[in-house]
Amino acid sequence: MKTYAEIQVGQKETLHHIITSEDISKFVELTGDDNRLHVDEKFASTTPFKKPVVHGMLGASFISTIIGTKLPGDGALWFSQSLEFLLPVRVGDELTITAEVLKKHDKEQIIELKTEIHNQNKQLVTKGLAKVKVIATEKPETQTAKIEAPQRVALVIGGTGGIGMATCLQLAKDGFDLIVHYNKNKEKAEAIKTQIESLGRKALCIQSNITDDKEIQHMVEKGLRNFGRIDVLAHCAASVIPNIKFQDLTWSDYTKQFELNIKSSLSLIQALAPGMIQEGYGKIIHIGSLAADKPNADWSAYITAKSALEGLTKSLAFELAPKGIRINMVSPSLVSTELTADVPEKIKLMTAAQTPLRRLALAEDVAGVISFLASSKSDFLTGENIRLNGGQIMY
Amino acid sequence: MNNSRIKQVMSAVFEVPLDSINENSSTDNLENWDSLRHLNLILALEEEFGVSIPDEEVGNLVNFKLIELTINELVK
Amino acid sequence: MENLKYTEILQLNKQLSGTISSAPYQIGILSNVTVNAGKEILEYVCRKNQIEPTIEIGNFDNIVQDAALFRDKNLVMVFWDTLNLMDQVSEFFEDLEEDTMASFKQKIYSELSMVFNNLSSTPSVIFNCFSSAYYPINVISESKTHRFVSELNRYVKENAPSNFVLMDIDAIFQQHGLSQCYDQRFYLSSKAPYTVNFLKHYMVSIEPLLLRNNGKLKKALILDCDNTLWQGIIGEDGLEGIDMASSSKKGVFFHKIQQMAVFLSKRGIIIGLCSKNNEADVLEALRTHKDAVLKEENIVIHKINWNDKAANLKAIAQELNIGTDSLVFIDDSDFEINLIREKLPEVHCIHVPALISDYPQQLLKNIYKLFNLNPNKDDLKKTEMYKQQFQRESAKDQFGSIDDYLASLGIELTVLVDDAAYIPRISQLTQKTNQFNLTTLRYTENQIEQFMEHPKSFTASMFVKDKFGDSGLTGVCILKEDEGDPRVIHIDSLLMSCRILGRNIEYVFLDHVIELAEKKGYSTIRAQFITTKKNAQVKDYYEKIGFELLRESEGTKSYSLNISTFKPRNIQYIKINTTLNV
Repeated sequence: MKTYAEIQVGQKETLHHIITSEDISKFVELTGDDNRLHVDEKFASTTPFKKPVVHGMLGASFISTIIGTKLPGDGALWFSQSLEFLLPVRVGDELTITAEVLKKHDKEQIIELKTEIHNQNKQLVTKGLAKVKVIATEKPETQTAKIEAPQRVALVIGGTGGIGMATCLQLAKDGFDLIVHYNKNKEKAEAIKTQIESLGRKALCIQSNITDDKEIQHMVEKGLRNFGRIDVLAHCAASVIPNIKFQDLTWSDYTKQFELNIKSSLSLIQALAPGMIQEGYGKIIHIGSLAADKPNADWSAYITAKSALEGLTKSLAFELAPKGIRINMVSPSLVSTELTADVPEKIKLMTAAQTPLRRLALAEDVAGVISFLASSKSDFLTGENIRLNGGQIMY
Repeated sequence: MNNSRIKQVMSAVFEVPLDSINENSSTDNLENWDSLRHLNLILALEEEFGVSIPDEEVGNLVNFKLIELTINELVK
Repeated sequence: MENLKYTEILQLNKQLSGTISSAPYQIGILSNVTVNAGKEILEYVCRKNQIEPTIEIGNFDNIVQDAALFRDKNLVMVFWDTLNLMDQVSEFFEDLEEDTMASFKQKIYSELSMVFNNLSSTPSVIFNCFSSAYYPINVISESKTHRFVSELNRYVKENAPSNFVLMDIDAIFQQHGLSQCYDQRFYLSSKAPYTVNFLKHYMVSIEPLLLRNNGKLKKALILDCDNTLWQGIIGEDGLEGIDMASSSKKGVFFHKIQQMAVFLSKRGIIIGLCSKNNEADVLEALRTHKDAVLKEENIVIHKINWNDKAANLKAIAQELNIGTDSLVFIDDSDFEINLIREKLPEVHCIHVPALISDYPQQLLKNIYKLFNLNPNKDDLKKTEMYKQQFQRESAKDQFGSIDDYLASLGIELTVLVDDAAYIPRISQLTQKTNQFNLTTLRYTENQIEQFMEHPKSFTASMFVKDKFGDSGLTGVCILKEDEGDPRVIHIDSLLMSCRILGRNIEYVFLDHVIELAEKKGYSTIRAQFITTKKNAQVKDYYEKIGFELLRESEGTKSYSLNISTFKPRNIQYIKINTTLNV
């Protein structure tokens, strides 16, 4: 089938058909038109036509076939047809039915077609003019766009961290090319790049200090230049959570956490949005924390920032959804990585013992949810916070 | 070795064979480990190692690893 | 057992579980504090004495209500701890108004009274006295708390029924130190005030009661001689070298041991000797040593030879016609003690302690635990009676036929019915008799009293006398009317002391009982034989009397006898009286 946009002026479709006496019988049965000229040989011989004549509409009905199945095909609303029957058609004639696009009316999405029927002697037996409105289907254009989609690319911020690395590898397995962001750990980033390549995907390591807007901008530009597009952003960067007693809290503790958690996200989204909007598709994934729902002592600045991150996620998800950008987050409980290596073994054991699924979260668990949020499976999900905590809380 | 002494105590208190106690033993997989037996466990551990287990810790000793960690801390 | 770790007790208890095949001893524990840690300890104490316990712990702090539910247990233990009782009062106790305190006291009195009522017919109850050891003492003027506790204890002493044994836990606190017994931390978190140590000591201290209630008290104390009855070895040191003088530093301890042995013999406990020595040497020591307290007349039986002691003890048991599990054996030798522990584990062994100054206390502790020190008249004559038995045995050889011999004895039976004066001895017989015992039901004095008072049951007690001596009350028959049919009566218990067996007395007694039943208007007698490890000899007794076997299943045989068709044996040479000629 053809969409209105695909139809070009001058486009032509053809159909061939040999008329048989059976066609006549079927037509008579359907319409009840048993005019003796069509069905009675004896009668026909007394007329100037001498031989029975095929119903004009029988021949013309093949115009319906072309319009309905080929040009434009499904979605055709055929609302006008003029016909002139120029020559008689006889049983045994071989008909060639053609339709050619003469004009397009964009505003109403209407095409005008020249419809002609020729016989085996190249004589024009029927001619007419058709007008057809092309109905758009329910499927969005982007769907069509995706089937022919080019290679998808994901940018993982903090790619050298525990969660970041697991995410890079998982997304590579899912079929993404990766941009592995790092700040200090170049060697590790390169090692991850190698691993991604061994999975058959492309990878690029880019260094950037994400507290600096300019550096974010450069990183994004470089990424776009190399890959042409960035479809997914997974913000996996984290730093050690400070333990600050209430009496020692200052406003700058809060602003620092906001810089780390909110400002970089905002800058990244602003840098990536234009490209995503153009594609009409994008996925942004943040990482929150169980602590935002179930606080720990001495973590107020961090918890406040992560709660704010949920606000950022939801508000921007709301605004950017019409443009095709989905923004979601995953909030894990304590994850066993280098970052949390200093947490006393006892705390870890106790946490595991109190978790219904009896273990701590692993980086792979988080990567698994990010993988879902990065895939088309979650296309109708936006502004959502997936809580990943082994059952410690259930909303 | 504290490890094997802890297993002996657990085996006696929960009335299961010694070889069925391992690193993963916990309230989840030892049927007889209910709150009354838990108290008996604390008494037996205190007697065996000559330590006094602080109140806050009593409720945390829900699996072998946590018991081992806590006893090792107290015995130092 | 106090030396065992809690973990070890748990393990040993588990090993013993399922190995004891006697009927379960039903114990109920009522408490207002958590005592669950004591359950396995109590089980162990029972099991190591061959008692199979079934222990039910009542709902927490529900003493009064659960007392009603537990009244039919064999034993009820009440842990009514002062701590949780005082916790009912939220104000500072010392500041309480007199009338508030008085009404609180009345409330507790009425609760106590209800418990006493509910448990008054239970065979045995152990009730802990209230302790004020938990509270600081006011030296200058008695604190209200202390006064309150003493008043509660006085009420208990004055009103507790006779089947209650009052345990003084303060004595345990004193002996071992409150800090070793009371764990405040666990009391506050889980209402569990007692340490494992306390529970161990407590269960050990009630051991004598458990033994008594289950007929496990011992009947004989068999002693080694060298370094057990005296310091030194008579074969090496000679008569002058051995020491048992009260004035001597070493000898004094042995002196006390001999005094205790005499003490026991006066109370009907059989004293015997088992020593690897020349018989003449030992007997000479007893007869002639100036410091000897234990005399030949105190000693009922001895095996002084060079044979294996396990065989000797077995022989002693056999000759006395008692089980080896009724023997207590004292020896200083590791070897001998280990040998007996291995070969005859049911014999209670006492190893003379290395620190000899501990010896008398050790023995005394064991004496309190293992022997009945409140004998009745028959117990006292026992030593004499065993001697008489030996005489009878030797006289037997003179006669041609058994019947002639038996006739020559001039046996006289006296049968009394429902005579309350003999309740203690009757109860004792039900608890101690194992071999000639048809149903082996153990009864406390309380229960015998109830049988006598009940109009539809009667208890016949049999006294035996012959030309050699008076054996006293040696047979019991308890009968109960059938609940549905007033013409039928059941023999609930029939037992006779092994001392008087083999003289046809067992047939004459029952003939008489059947005659009594007929006089009372019964037409049918039902009876049962219930198998135990020890009563195989009476397996076919009822058949021999003439009862009809109705059915047999799982070690129980049920019989019936139609009185009108019964033919008594009519043994003429045994006379029957129905009044006691004292």
